[in-house]
Amino acid sequence: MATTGPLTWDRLVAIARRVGVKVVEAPSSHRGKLGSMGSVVGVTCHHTGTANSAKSTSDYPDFNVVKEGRTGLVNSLSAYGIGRNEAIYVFSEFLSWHAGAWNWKGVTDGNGHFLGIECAGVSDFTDFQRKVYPRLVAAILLEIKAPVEMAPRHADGAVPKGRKTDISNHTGNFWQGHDFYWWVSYYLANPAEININYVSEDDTDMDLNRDTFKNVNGDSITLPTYLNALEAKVDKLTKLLAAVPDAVVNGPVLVNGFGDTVSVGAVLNAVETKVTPSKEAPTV
Amino acid sequence: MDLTPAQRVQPDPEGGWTAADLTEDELVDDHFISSNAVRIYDPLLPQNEKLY
Repeated sequence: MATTGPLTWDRLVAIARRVGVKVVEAPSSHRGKLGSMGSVVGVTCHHTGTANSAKSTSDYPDFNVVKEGRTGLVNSLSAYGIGRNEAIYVFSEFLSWHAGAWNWKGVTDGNGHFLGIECAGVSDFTDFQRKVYPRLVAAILLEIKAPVEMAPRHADGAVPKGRKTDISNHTGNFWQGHDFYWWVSYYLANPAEININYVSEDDTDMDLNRDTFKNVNGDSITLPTYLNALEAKVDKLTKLLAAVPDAVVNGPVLVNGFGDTVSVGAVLNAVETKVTPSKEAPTV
Repeated sequence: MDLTPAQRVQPDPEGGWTAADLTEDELVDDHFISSNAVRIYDPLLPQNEKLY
């Protein structure tokens, strides 16, 4: 089991910033007062239990409770928080009261060895949370060099089994057809994409067979479709011009401004003569 | 004061905390959050770091 020793405040902040969203540093006043945290071996996934309908204009309405605790539970209540739509919150690199009676992979001191993440809500995740939560978990696991198995839900590690539900709704379609842990594993395998603003070099180029634009008829077509149609039209025009006999070009088919019947070739020669600059010096 | 592993579980005898029973007064708005943060980093702002 990977251990990295206690994580410093700066390391916790750096982990959060790696996700590429707003990071609010709000150190709990209780940091360190209960002693050092042990080696961090994993992360525990929680939700706050406050419905999104409560104090709906606030990004993280549980901010003060998670930061400072409450009567009978005076301490920070997790290392991190995830807001509804805006930010990751950093509260404490020290011991937080988040796990309670615990057993995960033989570790029974959940508070002493797992960082807690308290995501706002009752697993009624917002799009922001669906994108940020697995990224933050992956960023922590990478920092402590731990596999995805070391990011249990509170419901997984809490004993006796069944006493907790957070985080529920993590299976099924958590985001874009994949469950929560599929995404954590994906970001562990693709760490560059932990940054939510990451754009690959491939994405910066136009995908010729995917990206479309509207033509003059209002049809959405790809560039190859457009170019193929254009090439076909040019071919057709070229063949039509090639089929025009010289007799037509040189035959008496036009009546000029003087009423004379002249050939197209004669008109072109006359025009060319008129627009060709004279080589003689102008007379004064 | 370093707590023992057993003590580290004790403050949570009923198994974790829950915010489900928080009162409206315990919930806070964004202004409160901003005024209680020491630093806010926002990668989307040109001057992306604000110190309080």
